[in-house]
Amino acid sequence: MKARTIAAIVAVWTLLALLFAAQVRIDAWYAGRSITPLQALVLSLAGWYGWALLSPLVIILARRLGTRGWRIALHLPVALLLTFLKIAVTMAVLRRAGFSQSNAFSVANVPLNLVTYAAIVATTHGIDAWRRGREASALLMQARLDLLTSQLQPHFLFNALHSIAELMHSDVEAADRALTRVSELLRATLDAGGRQEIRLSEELALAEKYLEIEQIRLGDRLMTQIDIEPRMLDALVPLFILQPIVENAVRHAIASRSVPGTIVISARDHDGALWIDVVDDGVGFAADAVERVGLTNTRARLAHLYGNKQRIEISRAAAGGASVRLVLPFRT
Amino acid sequence: VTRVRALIAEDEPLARRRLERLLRLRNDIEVVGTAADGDEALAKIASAAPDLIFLDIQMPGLGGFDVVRELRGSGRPFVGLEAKSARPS
Repeated sequence: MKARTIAAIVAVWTLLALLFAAQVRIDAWYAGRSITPLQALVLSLAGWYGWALLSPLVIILARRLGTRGWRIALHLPVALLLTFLKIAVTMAVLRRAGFSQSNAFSVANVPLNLVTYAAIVATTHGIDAWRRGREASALLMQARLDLLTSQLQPHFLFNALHSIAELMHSDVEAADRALTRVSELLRATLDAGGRQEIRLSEELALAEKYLEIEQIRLGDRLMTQIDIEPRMLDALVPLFILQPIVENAVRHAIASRSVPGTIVISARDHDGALWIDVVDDGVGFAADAVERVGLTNTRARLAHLYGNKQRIEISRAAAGGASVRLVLPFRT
Repeated sequence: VTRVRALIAEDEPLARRRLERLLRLRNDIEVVGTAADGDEALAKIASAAPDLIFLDIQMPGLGGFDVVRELRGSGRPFVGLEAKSARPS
């Protein structure tokens, strides 16, 4: 834990203790006992610092048990156990410090301690969810930036524009189509807004535009095949998830060879999960390269969006080329 | 006027045609051949003996650097053609 985090935790519990010190005095007054402000403060601090010490344990437990499923029920016995343990320890400490038993117990009543436990759990989940959301949007932003960068870099945009310039001399219709594709792809990147996910059909349309532009440049060396189970077209996938994978396939399987190659994009339902395969018939990965294939941002985005319900499988395709498989939860 | 006899080695057809078209607009350059990869370039350099070679660095098979290495010591001038890109991975 960072020093700042620890300072923040201590500050929060101290603040609570100060607020409740007043409550302790009022309680004592109602009970017909009188205690000094200092005694009230000590009683209150003893009560709240107990939770300050226990909170790391509760936070770890909250993360372990998660927010769904029967396991969250385990919080109840743990909360009771920790509450009674904490009260017993606090009372023992206070008796040592010379406080009477009735005074000590007034700051350590059971319902307040149970609510405190619940508050720690709720705050943990709240902060975690907020962090996940923030990181997911940061990663999407990164993906969009990567895509824009790869579209605006010389190799892609300028080659496409020069190819189109040349195409105008021989096939004006084809040049027109190509220019339109470039425009559509740039527009889609700039217009995407804050959406994290789009339908697979839309994501494929983006990939097809990209492939069409690359086809102009590479000519008949680049062949593509798209094979999607119709039901999967409405499945939600992370925006721009296919782009870096398809781009890698073009670069390594097509552009680096003089013989024609085929990139096959397919999607199907597999036991309720969505499998998307991008397979080429190029030279494939060297045995050790499979581990080195980066797709860093892709992996990070999938982990943030779907936790352990996703994976990327990189392997050598049956035909000898490279195969990248995305396994995602099937949702519409 | 003596025209410089040039050869173009570039794997992308449209890029090759474009460079050829642009060079043909000049009256001090004569394009004596084009090649789609390094091997074809070496063969055409041997037969056409160009004065100047426009060479794509990234080509399938023999790349531009391989061609330069093969012809080391021949004294032929090269112009490297390259648009390096960042990798997505």
